[in-house]
Amino acid sequence: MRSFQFLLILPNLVLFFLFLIAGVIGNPMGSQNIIIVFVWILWWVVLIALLVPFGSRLWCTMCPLPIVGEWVQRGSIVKVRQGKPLGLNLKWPASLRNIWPQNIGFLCLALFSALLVTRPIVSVFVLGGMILIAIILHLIFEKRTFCMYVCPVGGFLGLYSMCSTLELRVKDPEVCRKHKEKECLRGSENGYGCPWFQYPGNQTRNNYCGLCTECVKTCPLDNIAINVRPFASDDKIKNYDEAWKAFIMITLAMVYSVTLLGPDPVIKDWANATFTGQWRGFLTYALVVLSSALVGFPAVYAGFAWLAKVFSGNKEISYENVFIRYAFVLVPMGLLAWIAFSVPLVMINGAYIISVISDPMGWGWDLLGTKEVHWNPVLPGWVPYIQAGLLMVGLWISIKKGYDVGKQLFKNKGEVMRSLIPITVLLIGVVAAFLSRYTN
Amino acid sequence: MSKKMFTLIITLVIVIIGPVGAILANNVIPSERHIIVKARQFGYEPSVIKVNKGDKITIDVATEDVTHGFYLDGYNINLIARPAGDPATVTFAADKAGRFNYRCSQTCGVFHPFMLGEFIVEPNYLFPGSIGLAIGLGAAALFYLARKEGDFCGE
Repeated sequence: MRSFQFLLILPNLVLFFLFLIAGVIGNPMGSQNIIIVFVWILWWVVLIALLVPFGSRLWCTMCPLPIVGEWVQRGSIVKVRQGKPLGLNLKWPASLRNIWPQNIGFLCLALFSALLVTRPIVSVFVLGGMILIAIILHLIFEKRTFCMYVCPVGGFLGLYSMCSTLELRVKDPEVCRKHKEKECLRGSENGYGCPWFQYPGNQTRNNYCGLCTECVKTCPLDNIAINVRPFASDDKIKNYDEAWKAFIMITLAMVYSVTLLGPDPVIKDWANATFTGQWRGFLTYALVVLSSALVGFPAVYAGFAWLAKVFSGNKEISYENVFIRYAFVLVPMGLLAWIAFSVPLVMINGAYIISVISDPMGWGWDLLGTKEVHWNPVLPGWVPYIQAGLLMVGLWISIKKGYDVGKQLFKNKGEVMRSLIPITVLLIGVVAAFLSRYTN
Repeated sequence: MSKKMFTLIITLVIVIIGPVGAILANNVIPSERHIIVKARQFGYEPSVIKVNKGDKITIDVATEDVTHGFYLDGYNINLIARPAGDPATVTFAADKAGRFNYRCSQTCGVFHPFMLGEFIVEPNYLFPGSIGLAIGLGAAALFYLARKEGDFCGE
């Protein structure tokens, strides 16, 4: 059904524009404005704890941010419009065909996260700005260049979707190989060629498939399937940009845990510089965050990856290969760390969702009679236990996936097991760092 | 005993030894503690309070700017400190060990949801126990994988 994606996006788009309006004219107090409560509590928790682990990039299927740009580019909302797309239809520069722009973009946004998640107007500027950038990029570049190479959310969705229990794959690659027309790439009267620049016939990872389902619509041989699979089935990190994404994400999970969930008022004052005026502190904070994510943690990982190679005793394998491939262990670990970080968001601050439904602008309305529902944390004493449990699950899965990666890297079991020892020590260290924040 | 059963037992022993080893009793005589907490946008001073299980705690919460709350997770204590008023006070026995947050329960400004402090009642078994569990789990995972068969030819 061609309108499938449109029907998914439409309610999100309508809600999103209402949120933007609320962000501009509503209560400037984040906890009393629907854009903050729904986007940074409800949406975030649903995204990281449900959609990504169980639905891959399902959010990209229904994301309202790039859709206006795509409609403009296509000159059509639902129907397939044949012929040249509107706009310049340029190719994205080859040197930028990686996720480094997304890595840097997400990191820069993260520096201002204390403002982003508490100030409605900042959320309006960032989210509204992304819509505008998406429209501009859709008019300059071909297809979904914005989603593929620019969207800061897309970068980590791609990385963590490797863990998802859902995948889009061809049923039989041989059918694709023999079929010369390749409607999934070129498009047909039933749908567009893959807007994400992917060829389903050789797709073996979730990373860059936005689940837009155009290939499902165009494939005349009904050779596309959406499968359920075990958690963390894609285990190939391919390049440094993806490895660094894993480093950045796990570092930021710790940074947010300290800044937002930690007790230290000095760090909060630095991160919250527009309120406190402590710009020198903010500079320190920014430098620490950037250096930790881009250099500090990667350097620590590099040391353990080197030990993994040395311990393995294998002299043929390159250090680069070990470095890049073992970085995958930080993907399930990072995802579980982010879910652990998000637990208090919903259990402690989730009560704001109920009251803001009745008073989305924060003007004192009581539309559904829930305005006066008092802020009441749900089982707050359980939060550290749940967080510790999630980290343990992440640790177990990551070590097991490390073993799977090792099997692909080394020749025999002895090499795999020896190389896995430093990787396991690193993972325990990562878990210990989060535990010290959540349980100590 | 079958090989699988042996692996399972060793794995369980390793997983259990970690936390049990970490949970060592510390006997401390309960005492009375009077703690003055100053609240301001968006933090508390002190931001971390450490007491021992069994201590009788009196907490006075005063504000330095706007109205703030002091909600203590796990103890169901909720105080409100107003700028013009006397400090809000509560006295209770710290009868639950562990790590708890105290957080502002009165919307006090933009960063309000993240205004919190830590109340640690020693002995806090959760931290050393979970660290021990992580080490045990790591060791158990390696042990389990080392004994796993059939992944390589000639095993």
